[in-house]
Amino acid sequence: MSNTQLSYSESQLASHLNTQPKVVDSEWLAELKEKGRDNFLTRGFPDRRQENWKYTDIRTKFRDNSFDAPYDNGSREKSRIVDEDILRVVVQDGKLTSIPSELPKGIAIRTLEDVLQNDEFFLRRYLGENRALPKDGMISLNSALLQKGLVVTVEPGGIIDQTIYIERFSNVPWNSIESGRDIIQLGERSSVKIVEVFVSSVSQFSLTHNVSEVYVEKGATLEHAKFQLEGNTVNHITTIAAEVSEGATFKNFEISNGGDTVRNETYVNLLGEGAHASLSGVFLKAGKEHCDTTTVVNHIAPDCTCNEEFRGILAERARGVFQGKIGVAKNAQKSDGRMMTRALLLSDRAEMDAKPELEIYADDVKCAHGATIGSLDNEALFYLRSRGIPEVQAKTLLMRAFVSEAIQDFGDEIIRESANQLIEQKLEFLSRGGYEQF
Amino acid sequence: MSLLEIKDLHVEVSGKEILKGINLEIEAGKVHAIMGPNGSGKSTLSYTLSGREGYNITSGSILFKGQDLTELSIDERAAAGVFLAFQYPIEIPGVTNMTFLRTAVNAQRKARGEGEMDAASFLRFVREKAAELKVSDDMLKRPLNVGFSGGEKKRNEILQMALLEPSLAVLDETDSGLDIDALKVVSEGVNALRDPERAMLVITHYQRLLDHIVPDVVHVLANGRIIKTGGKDLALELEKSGYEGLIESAA
Ligand SMILES: Nc1ncnc2c1ncn2[C@@H]1O[C@H](COP(=O)(O)OP(=O)(O)OP(=O)(O)O)[C@@H](O)[C@H]1O
Ligand SMILES: [Mg+2]
Repeated sequence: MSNTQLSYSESQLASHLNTQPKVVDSEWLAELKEKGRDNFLTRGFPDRRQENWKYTDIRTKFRDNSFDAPYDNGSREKSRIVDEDILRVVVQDGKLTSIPSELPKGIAIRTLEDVLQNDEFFLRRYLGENRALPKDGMISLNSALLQKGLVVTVEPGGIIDQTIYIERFSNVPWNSIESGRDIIQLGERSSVKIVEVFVSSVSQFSLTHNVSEVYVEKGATLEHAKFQLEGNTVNHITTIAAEVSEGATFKNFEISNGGDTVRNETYVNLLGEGAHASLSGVFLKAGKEHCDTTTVVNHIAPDCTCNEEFRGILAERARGVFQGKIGVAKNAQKSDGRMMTRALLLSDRAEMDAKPELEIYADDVKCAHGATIGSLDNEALFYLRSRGIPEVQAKTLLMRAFVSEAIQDFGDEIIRESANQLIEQKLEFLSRGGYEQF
Repeated sequence: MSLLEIKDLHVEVSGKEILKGINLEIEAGKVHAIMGPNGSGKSTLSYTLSGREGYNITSGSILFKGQDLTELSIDERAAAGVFLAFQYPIEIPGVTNMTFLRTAVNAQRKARGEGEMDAASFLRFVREKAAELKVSDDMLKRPLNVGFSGGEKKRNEILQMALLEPSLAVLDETDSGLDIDALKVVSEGVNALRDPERAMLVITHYQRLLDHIVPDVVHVLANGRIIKTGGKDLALELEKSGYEGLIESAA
């Protein structure tokens, strides 16, 4: 199958979509794809005219194809967690290439194709059905291109102690889209930790586009982390849509270290009483890199809580965006929501746009949001250096302190340790002056 | 050769001349004290020695161990042996005191071509010095200076000095904010570091500190100039008669 080209005009993309070969004989899926295609043709790539994409005009981005000189961030080698206590799954260009021969009892990891052939009923229940999923051109395109993806399911009561570590390598041709759709479904009272790492080889102008539909049933706990480490010519847009039921917890943590234009979207519906969502992340950008963090958390049932903590550091001409919205429905009394974003600008050409929003229809709620944008504390830097700590090291130390608050409460020791290692490398790169040092 | 030789030093801050021709020589093994009214330029001199940005030397020279100190960056000066105990130590959230101390000690060792200290030996080293200065374990674990009382911050400065073993220690009002017992602890810490190879420049407003850390030389700094230099008795004299008469006769 030929790859889907980014630089196609939308109408060319349409004819390409029309000639896609059938994955399997499923009328249901064919219809879903067709609907996706039609919707994409109406909506097109999102651009600044859409409120939700105001700061990340990807239509223009894909038309202009401009990016920094390729730089090998070595992430592919460095991203490997060496620990016996993790379950390693490898996905190469969207295809599952390696999976432990034995998984713990209670968890299954299958490909979308596999599930389609053997359990179409499951897919019909969960695929494209997530109530938190937004309706825009990107999601439509993802549906139109539906073919590759992972389905992770945990049985009710299944407590998975080992961390599932999914390494996603992409090495797609110049200008193509790597499109995937995943489903993560946790049965009642189950729990699992999943880390997904996105890496690529350098110098391929491409788009990684992944949509995950997440279902956390009653009393279950999902801790999900994404380490986004692709080369600096890879654009990356991922959408996580999560339905969180009564007494369930969904924690999501992301590191955005790599990529060119990156957008991390998280949409959460807190559907049952006492559901909890915790979203946190760190973005570290230099050159002309762009990182958009978009979150929407809807409190639909009473007594739900959410906590958001994002930290970003922007060097050179990098641009950060935070759009966060907490919505509280009319009967979602006693909702408790907190949203905080802080950014450090290392250069006066760097830019951060923060747009926190509350939309509250209930009267008995506690909601707070805050955003700060600042620069490195020169006094602190002087103090550290006056003790003999060289400038680069002192800056790295201060930056690490700045981002640490977004990491400290997530996952287990192994996840935090590897997160810290990954961050350390990029912080040093930023301290040395980003791309300009070369 | 003196350890530190300052000649006709003029320094501007934000375009305003603060130091107006300082001459100061300190030999190894000696303790010099600087006293002087508020705003006379004492802290400015200490920041200039550490290489802080914004302190522009418009003329004059600073030689340290015979080398032009102004050519070194802030951290190079520290590695070369210059240490400043801050009048107002900085709070750094997110960096624990312990991490900070180990990073600093190892950075200086590395700059001097010595091997880094491993975690265990460093811990032993820090514990020993901390006990002498009554710095608690809790203070070592907390973020650097965050929520430390005024006196705790000052003791932490002296702990850093004890760990870094500089050849020139500038103490900028280390006595301010200390209670009587802490003053004793800190002074003992400082005296323990007195050494034929090491010099100290003690900035203070009070004779009281100089009872504990007895100086060899006392200078009076007023309006950006050293207007009088004498022995330890000069401090006693100032305590009685104040600066006014001195400043008038110097003018
Ligand atoms: N950034 C600045 N811009 C302008 N003037 C400054 C600046 N920093 C210091 N000064 C001035 O320089 C002068 C000397 O200040 P310095 O802090 O050196 O005094 P000091 O002798 O240490 O006083 P104190 O005894 O109160 O600590 C003061 O008049 C002060 O206002
Ligand atoms: Mg002062």
